[in-house]
Amino acid sequence: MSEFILKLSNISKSFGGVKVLENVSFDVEKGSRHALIGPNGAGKTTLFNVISGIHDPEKGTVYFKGKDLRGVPSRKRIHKGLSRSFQNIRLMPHLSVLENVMLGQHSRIDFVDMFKPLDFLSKSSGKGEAIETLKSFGIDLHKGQTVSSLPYGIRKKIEVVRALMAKPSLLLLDEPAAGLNTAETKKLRDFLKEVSRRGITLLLVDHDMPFVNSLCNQVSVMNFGQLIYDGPISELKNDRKVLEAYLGSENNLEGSNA
Amino acid sequence: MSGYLSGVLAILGINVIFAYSIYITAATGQLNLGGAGFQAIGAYACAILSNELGLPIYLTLIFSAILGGAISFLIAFPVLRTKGVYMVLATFAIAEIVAGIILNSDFLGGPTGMIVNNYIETEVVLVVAIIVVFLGFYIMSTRIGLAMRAVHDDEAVADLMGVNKRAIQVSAFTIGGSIAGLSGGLYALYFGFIEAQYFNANISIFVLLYVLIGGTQTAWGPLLGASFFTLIPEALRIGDDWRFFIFGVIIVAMMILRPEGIVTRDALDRVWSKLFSRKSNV
Amino acid sequence: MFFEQVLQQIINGLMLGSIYISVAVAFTLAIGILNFLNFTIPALYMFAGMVGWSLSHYGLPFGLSGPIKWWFALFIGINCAILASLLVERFTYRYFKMKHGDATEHAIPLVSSLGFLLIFEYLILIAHGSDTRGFSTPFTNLDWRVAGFIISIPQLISLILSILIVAALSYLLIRTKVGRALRAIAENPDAATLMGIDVDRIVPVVFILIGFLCGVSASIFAINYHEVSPYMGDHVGTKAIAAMVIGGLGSVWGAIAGGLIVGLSETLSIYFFGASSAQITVWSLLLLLVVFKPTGLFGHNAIGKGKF
Repeated sequence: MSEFILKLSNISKSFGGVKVLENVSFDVEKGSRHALIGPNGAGKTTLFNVISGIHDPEKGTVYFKGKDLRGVPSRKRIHKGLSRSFQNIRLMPHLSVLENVMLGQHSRIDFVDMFKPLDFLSKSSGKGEAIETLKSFGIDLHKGQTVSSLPYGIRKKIEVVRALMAKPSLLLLDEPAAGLNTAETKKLRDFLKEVSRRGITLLLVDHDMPFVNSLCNQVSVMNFGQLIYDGPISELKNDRKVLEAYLGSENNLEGSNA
Repeated sequence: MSGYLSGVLAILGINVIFAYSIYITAATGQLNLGGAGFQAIGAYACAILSNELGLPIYLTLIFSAILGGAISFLIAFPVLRTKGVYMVLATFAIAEIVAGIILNSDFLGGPTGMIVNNYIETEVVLVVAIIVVFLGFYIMSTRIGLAMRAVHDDEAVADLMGVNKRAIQVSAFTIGGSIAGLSGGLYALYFGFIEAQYFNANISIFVLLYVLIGGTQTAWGPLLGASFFTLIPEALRIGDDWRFFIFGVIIVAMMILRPEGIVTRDALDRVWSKLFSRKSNV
Repeated sequence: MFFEQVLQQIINGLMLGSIYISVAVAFTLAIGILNFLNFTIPALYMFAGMVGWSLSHYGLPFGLSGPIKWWFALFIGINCAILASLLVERFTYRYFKMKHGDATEHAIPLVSSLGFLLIFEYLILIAHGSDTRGFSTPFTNLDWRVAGFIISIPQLISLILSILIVAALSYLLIRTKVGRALRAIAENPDAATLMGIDVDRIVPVVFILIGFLCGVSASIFAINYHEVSPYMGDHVGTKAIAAMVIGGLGSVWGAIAGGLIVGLSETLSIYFFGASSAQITVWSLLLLLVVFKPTGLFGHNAIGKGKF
């Protein structure tokens, strides 16, 4: 298997003279569950922002499904099958659970359907699909509540579902397990495995190593804006450079997360 | 209908329409502090078309809306490059420029104002108001409305969800401008006299406050806000000065206690579910 | 002859601009430090003038004293403007906590300040009606004729005074501990808190300065033009906003340049194009700047972008 859905080649990016990303290159295999780890400030979120088009890289190219994404505005990347969640939950605070999830469908909706009232013509507008999806992942609609009043764990999950509603082929998840307790993390893992079984490639950033170990099969490690490891997760423990980078940092490769 | 009541209802109708024009923009998270300017454009368009060309009422009203919308569309592109406080200042400046042009133009009557040759009854105002309210509810109930609210809550994320933020904002600003023009046309036809001094900064401020106090989260906000601030002072029969003083106190209090406005989604859903459960019990 | 007339207009314009300077600085402080478009400022300006007039005309309320001397009345007026400004701080900033960070939430202080604008304006209207009131001081017709030009001495003093006040303010911002704290808050309020700056105690300083500047400016106006009115804030307020934008949001020295430019363009445009053309000239200039060069002539990049 060597079909790559995402190819990063020599990505560099700096803010105000500080190099945040330096010649980062790695590939994400189609159908894989790929983790991107590294200490805080290693440039992981910046790399996500470059992939999703929020930042333009100074150097280097992002290839998605074999095509150069340069010049494709961030808004249009979701149409190509690239969807993401955020490190700090960025759900729309004044929308309900259902509305947030339906916003995820926006890129797939025909122009004419945009003008149909959602409350009366629910079938054609994707409302039914949104309700079904939420149900299948065991998320309550929480009718009569905006998302800002819901618990953290539920919002975290809704954000993943919202990203899924675009029917992406690659899903970028920025710290999906952060702030969840052990039981919730386990549930999220099973949930993401289910997502993966549906044929969606996952690229995720997380600090929770047991979670990453039990979910992902590929891993890339970054430190100070550079890639220091890229390969199967099983061989990560034996890599000298990775061990050095993590020595003395709060992130422990074996034990629980910081 | 008594003369007094019909007068109050006409003002209510015009204010409600005007409030929706500002609401459509505010729902996408942009404050238009130049409402009076767009209303003035509609009012003067209506007056000129009635007086000079003798067009029938419905045509003059349609042209008021079209002209308000067209001018909004043209200035939307430069104005929507600005954000936040700059957008407030830019729209404020536009209203001042419009008023300045009217004051300097002999054709538009300058500072002495203009008499309008046509006249409409309160009923016309109310019918148009009902149509505009329906339009507001309709837009907010579609995916366009959903996208507008998303842009209001978080522009960057809405963009990543594939929402064309610029198209949404330009359309909202244009629709807003045309509704403001329409309200101006109705004002001109109902009162039969217009002058530049009426369309001043205070009018822009008041209508924006109606909308923000009513609440920008749902289409009920402008309806309630405009009705509340038009009808309550009439009901209390207090003098103009006290009316605006109390208005100011209410605004300050609201911003502390309930800054999201009178009508919020949460509150509305609670009311709906209560009504709904009562029905099912019966 | 023509050039002399134009020169006279330029002199008049600069004098008029001196009135706008202090108010423009008040606006620019609120925006620069707190990211707050404070619409109460015109009302504070009017409030100081009308309180001053009321004291010099009637004396203290409830018959506590007879009419008060003009300079002391204005002094109390300035202090009342400061107190009123602190009241605004209390209800816009003290209780304000950002929850979601959405667009409407950014507008909360701005909307509150519009509320206060109405409160102060109509409070004065209720108390004193809408008439323009004469404000008499000993300075009448103190014109200074130089080479055929007329320069009003109180106006000249006003201009110098305005610039001195701004210079003092600029010194305060750059050299003193309070000034450094204010600039730290302007950069980043959260970081300022982490650095040990008590934001809740420093922010009122901004409002005291705003009240002071409005009061001084209103006093200058009353002395120069011998009148005050409940609507005096509207005209000056809009011109000062224009001056602030032209000078660049958050730039204190920019506000001086902006005030003088607005005063000049106002008198010259009246001279060349007639009385009501000033409105179009000044606001078109402002609109063009906001759209194409939002940093104004001296402003910084970051201020006010995307926030209120």
